Amino acid sequence: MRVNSVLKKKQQPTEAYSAPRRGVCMNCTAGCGLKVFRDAGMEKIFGDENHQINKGALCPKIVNIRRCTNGGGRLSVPCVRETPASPWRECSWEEALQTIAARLARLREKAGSAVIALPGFGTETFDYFVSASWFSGLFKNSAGPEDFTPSALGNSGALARMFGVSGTCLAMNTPRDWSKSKTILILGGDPAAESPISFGALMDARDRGNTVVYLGSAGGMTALRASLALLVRPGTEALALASLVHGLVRDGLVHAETLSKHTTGLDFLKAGLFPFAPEAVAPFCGVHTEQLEQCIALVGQSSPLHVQIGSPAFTLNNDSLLSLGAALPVLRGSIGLPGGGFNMKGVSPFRMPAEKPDNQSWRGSFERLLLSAQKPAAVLAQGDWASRLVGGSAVREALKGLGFIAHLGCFDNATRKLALVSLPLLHWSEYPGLVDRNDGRALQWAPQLFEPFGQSRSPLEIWAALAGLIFPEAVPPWDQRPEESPPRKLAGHMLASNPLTAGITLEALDNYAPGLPSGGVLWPAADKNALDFERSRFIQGNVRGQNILFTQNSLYPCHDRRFPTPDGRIHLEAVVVPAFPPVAKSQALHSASGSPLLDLVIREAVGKIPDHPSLPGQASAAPGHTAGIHPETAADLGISRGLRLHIRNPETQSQITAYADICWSVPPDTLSLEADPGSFLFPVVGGSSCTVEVSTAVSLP
Amino acid sequence: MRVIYVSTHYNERGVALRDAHPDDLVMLLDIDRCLGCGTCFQGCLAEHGPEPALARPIALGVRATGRASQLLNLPGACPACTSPCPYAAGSFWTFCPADRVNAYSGEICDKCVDRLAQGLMPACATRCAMKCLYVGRAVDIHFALAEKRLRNMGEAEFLP
Repeated sequence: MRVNSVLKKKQQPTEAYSAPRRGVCMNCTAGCGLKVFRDAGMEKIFGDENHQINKGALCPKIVNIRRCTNGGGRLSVPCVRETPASPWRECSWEEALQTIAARLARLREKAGSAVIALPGFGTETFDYFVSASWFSGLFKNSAGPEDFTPSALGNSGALARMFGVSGTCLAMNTPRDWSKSKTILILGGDPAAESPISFGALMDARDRGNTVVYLGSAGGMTALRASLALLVRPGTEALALASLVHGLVRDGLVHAETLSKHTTGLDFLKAGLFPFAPEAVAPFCGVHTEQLEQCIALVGQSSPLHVQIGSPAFTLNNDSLLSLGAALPVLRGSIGLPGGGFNMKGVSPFRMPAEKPDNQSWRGSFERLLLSAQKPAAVLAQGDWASRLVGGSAVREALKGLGFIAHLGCFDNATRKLALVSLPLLHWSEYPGLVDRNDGRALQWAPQLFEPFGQSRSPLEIWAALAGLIFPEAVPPWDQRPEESPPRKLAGHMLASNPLTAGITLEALDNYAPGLPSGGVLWPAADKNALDFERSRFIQGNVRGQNILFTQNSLYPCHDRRFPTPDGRIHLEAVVVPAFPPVAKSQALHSASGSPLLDLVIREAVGKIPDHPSLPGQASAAPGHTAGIHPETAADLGISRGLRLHIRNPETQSQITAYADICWSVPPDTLSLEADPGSFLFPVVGGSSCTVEVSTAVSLP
Repeated sequence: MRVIYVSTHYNERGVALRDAHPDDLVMLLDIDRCLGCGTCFQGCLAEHGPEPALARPIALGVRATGRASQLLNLPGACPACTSPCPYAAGSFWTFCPADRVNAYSGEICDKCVDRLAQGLMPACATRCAMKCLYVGRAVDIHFALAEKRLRNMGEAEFLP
């Protein structure tokens, strides 16, 4: 088959169409630009080539999203019922809202005993977050979405103590800067699976010769595509990171000028990280010491260094990992340089921690709230949060004991099965609003793309109507704005009242005026005059707003210092040092109790004896039973896939037989045995080694 | 359509480009960038209609051993095998290895002829999220291949 012309990669359908409608995707934190072609008999979504984040590409989550939002299973009518066991009864919006208002008004009279919990889980839109926070604030004793959103600064605010201000505006950079990095260290998560479009910028950087290092436990496609992957055991990422920082200080691979002029507390950091030598940490992390040393040498030779948290910031709740990750580019002198810095994705200027007393033990965790004495009497929330709760049966029982659950959402799910009132919510593509949280650190305005489905309503309407029923005297603070529609009033109010966004107007966010490309406005922006196209960069982008990292904005606080912190210095003494696991080293390697995997230390492979049947009284492996071995360990011991292994513990004289399987997910120097209940029970002895006898019979059933 | 896979681990070429006519239609797959996200699959569905029976994602994987486990499932490829099946429209296989020619009568990949007629890339290549899938004339693919090889050579340093 032959063609005559150069094929173009235009994001457009073949059918005749009028001008497409442009918008912003809110499925994940990437913040991609969309073009929607809607004409007679056609409805197709393509990427926006002019958008700075995706440049025309879209991930599969959005291409055919109308099949989900416009098809079967979508909730369209409000429903109520008496008990969770009884069937749903369709009703009017007035009846459903009155039902909720009657329950909440009763709780309001019971002062001091009721908590109205609206868990946010970070997945909600800007409209939902702000209006639900305002609604919950009307109650005396309540919890709002901001209480459950782990902020980018960590729950106890280690980053805030390090930098003195919101660390986000100081330390973050945008995907266009990533290609200027020498080395990019991805901490945890699996960004290739979570947001492929943001990961594309990392692949571009790798293809331009940068090094992408992955440190985490998830592995997956991110680890496959990284230049160097350090796969540690789950929960030990902070330990491995501490050993990286330890190695940098030990080998003198730090930027002395930055440390002496712009930081304090380096001695505290050195003392705190003294025990985290690579050889001490490696057994806990399940990696070789040489791998950690290789990583230290790589990170220590690269500048600028860019550390990126792999998962969106709202899913992160680990101060130690955050502060150590921020300390790494500080030690290398990379903060505030193009291509350097500490990057948290999906951070919003509006989702900072609420100014509340810190004596509530449940802050940041809805599960802890359920188990606490302040157990909520009513829960109103969006999405399927009930199926995402962790903590086992205790939390599930506490959830069933709640008095009243109202479900707001597009689809039937596990949360709705527990609820007494179901309110159909509009999908994010069906109402306009601000997009405040994306990886490009730009604020964008998302217009309405599709017609509302059924009788669904937007979260702003729902919370305003409920507040009007329960608190007739309450007036939303954004109600006095001159804009025409409630979403624009809300966005205008929030933009003007936040010092980080005070210079941004709604008109500047409107990407859809003629002549203005999409892409949004960078925050922080305190000056209206700075909202021009970016001019200070090597590559002229189409993002409006100046980058606070590299240009001095006279209206921004502390603009006359290199680091806009109150005293111009970064406080390294605020770094939270991780704790070693509370078991001895030898026992840590035998974490078999309660785990489906049984880990054994292999010291050596003794001989190669011919295949023989198991002796009487000894447990033998069932056919098809396998023992996973790390490839490097297998190479050291001369084990190949399919060999039958006789694993003997000399202290207990117990023995099992299994077929060798080579897999990367097993830590080095251990055997991973699939524990088949009833088949055998291998006693675990702390610190003991076992002997592996390798037979020559090669057969896999 | 000729298909070329490139990767640092797997460098086998299905059909040598030097034999190709400059105007031949060629698909280039950069396996180093592919995440297996399946946007090509979704793009094929969006282009050809809602029946997912024949469209399957391009699934690429290179194992640590260096051998590609599964090379290519073209969207709309014949479900009888995992190779691209241009039996009716191309010259990759001279016979059907699955002996499905007579039994199978469904639609196979039509290479998005409507898009080609307008000078546009097929839907899968248009949609590819990681920009690892190119379709074009052999002369254009030469350029992309050379760029990829240049990248693999590392950074160039210019002395003053």
